[in-house]
Amino acid sequence: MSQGDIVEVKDLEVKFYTYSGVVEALDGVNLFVREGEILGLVGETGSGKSVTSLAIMRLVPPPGIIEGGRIILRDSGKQQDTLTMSESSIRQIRGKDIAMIFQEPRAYLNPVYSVENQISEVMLVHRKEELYENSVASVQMRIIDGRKAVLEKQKAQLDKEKPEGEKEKAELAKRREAIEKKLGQQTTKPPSNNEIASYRRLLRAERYWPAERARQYQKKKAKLEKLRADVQKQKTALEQKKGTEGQMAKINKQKRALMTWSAHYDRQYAELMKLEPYQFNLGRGARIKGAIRVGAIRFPARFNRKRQFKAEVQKEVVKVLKSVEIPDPERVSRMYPHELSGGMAQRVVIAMALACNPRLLIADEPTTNLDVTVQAQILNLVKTLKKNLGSAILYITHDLGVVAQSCDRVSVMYAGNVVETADVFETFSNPLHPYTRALLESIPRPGEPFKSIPGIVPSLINPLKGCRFHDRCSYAQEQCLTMKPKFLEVKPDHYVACHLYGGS
Amino acid sequence: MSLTSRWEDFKTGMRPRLSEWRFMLKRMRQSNLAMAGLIIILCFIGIACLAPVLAPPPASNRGDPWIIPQDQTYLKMIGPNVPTPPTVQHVFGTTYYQYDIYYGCIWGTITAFRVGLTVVGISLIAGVIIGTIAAFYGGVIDEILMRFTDIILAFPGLVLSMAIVLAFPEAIPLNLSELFLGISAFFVLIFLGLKRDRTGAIWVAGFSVILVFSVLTYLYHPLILALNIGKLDKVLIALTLVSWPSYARLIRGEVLRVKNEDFVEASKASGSSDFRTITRHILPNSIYPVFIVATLDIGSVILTAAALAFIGIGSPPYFPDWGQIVSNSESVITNGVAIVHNFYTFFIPGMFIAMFVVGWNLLGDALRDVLDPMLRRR
Repeated sequence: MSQGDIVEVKDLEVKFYTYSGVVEALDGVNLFVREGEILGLVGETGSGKSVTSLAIMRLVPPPGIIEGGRIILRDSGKQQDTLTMSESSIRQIRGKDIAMIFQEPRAYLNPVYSVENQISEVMLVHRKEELYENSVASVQMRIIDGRKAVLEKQKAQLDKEKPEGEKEKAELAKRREAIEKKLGQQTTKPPSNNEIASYRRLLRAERYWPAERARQYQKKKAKLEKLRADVQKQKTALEQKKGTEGQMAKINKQKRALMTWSAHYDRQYAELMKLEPYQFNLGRGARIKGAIRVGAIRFPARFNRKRQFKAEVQKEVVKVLKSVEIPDPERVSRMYPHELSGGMAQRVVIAMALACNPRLLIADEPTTNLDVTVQAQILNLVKTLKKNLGSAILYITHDLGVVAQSCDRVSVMYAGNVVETADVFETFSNPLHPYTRALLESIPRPGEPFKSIPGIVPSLINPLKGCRFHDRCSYAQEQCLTMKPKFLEVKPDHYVACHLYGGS
Repeated sequence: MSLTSRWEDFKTGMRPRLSEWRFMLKRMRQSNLAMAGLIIILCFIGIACLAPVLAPPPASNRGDPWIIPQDQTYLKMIGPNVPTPPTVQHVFGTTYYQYDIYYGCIWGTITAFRVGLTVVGISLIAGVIIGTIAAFYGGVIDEILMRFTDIILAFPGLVLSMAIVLAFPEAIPLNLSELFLGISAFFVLIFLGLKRDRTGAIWVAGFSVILVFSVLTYLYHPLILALNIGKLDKVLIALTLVSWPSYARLIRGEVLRVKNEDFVEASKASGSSDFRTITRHILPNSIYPVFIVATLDIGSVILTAAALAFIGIGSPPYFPDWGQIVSNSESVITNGVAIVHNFYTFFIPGMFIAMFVVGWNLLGDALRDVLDPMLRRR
């Protein structure tokens, strides 16, 4: 309970107004998560672990109502109480500052969207502007690089030239200077679309188009020469022909047609001869592969913002999928939820939660429905994520083995109360609250008979007065029946709510 | 980005969807009835597209194809009450007042599509919006919206649409001054209240100009526009008003089912707004049954429209509409002999109606087989 806490829950009360009565699901829950730690939240079924996590997100489903308490969110010295926030500002926090991983990954993925869409959905809610700016910046970087490459190419061409006279030398020096000046400006100023177009034109004119034009010119010339020769041949053949009057009329008609064709070809040939080979007009729609390629850098043909944005989002999705150790993220990102295995689906759900780099990750029994081997993988993943991202994790589970293996601190819940919070070693070696002790004793061990806590979890509709554990507690005293114990720090960093340790 | 790389991207993006469509087509091709329905509908679409070629409107219509030509010589020689059986000139014969049945049937196809698609389209959109809002928010909103739909559902559709058609005026006087005054006053207040910055000021100024203008015209010379409503438009409006509640009910049930799915909760937990949750997560998972019912409904809407026309409150007698042609034949089938004699006056347009309805029904059934995840098996 200090400044290092990301989230601090104070005396949280949640009640469910059902037909059979008011369920006092949470009765003064005290919880705090420190920066960069894994806090395990353990308790039996119905002790209010999930309700606590939902209350932190302010997503308690109706008929549940958050009746009292405070949930304080700290962000670099700034404090916010999520319970007094407006709906729209809490929406800004959900998914961005606090994200959630759920128990059944398959059910938490929308069956109609591919993995990529699922994750980008979350990104688009919170990181749209950021991603858009990134995409624009990346396009600009590409343009700058492209321009640099063009200019350097021009410079290289200039270097190759061998000037003869003094005048030419001066001219070349001037041009080189101009290019160098432009090169100096690169890093500061992104080019306008006009500039891109002009550079593209330059590129085409200087490097690719003249050769292509000459090639096409030669092709056309050869074609025309062949056609003209053909026509000439036919003409001579016709002139040698003789026949009756009717046949002659036919031949004359053919001759006239040939004359027009030959005139047409002659005209075309004469026009072609007027041109230099590099002046040949390629016509509209002429396209040369690689015309806008300069080395390995490619100019964006047009500033297609939407497309760039999409590409940026895709890149980000793949990055997130990589961070949760999914093999072949490009392929997986195109898959649909039904094509994923359980462990893979859980990884995707974790990726969704991590899409906006949350500061607190609430994991609501993420491994309960998985195979033991996959469970171990996911646990290791959660641990590495904590290390890499530095976000705190609230790990909800009822498996004490998982807690012992992965958590830094433990909070134990019983019937809507947090009864004990301590370091994980402290909790396992020196449990103070009778419930924690009983819980630890009831872990099955080989060769020993099963132990269980006598009695049942009390109904929360008419909960016991005083300490809610007193009917199952072997240390119960007089005051346990009437007074609710306070949540106190009895040892350094060891909090207990019990009358045995002065909680009255 | 070259065109080819763009095409490649498009192909990879569309692959799952394309395979889905291919699967749907394959399923449809396996079923003869589905193919029959598809072919019938395609034939009708062909007829509708080729109407000006199949039955060119005569010069006497003066460019208006929506009048069935009358045979003037028959009208003079035989009179209006005796129809003529099919001849080369009138392929399907002529009916009451010597209207050409062939022309009416061909152009009536367009009317049928117009009625069916407009009514079903508009009522689908309205029903989906209302039903989704009711189901998603629940509580009082649900009660209000659903009791309202219940009121409409409580009346038989045909009777209610009859009442609406009869009660609807021929023309609605629309006072534009009043309308503009209301709208601009609303926006001025909105922008004054909510957007107190430079853009807000510009909007306020703009709307104030309209406001002053409308106040002046309202005081001195109100701009009144008469909205003429044709007879067919009345039928369209009435049928739309009657048919949206069924869609609202259907989508409400679906949304109530999907609303409690876990992925909706996940969407909320990731900070999506309600609108985003509805459009991105709930509707894509719940809209298909509505599409199926809509397809089936196009046929039944045509039947209701035909019934209205037969009662005599549909389109005018010269209008090319199948129901109207059947209705016209009413006065030439006064006795048993006439019914047998002049069967073509009602049988041919009746067959058009029947084929149209059967076609849509078969297609709707096929769509259900293809789209319903419970019925489809790979």
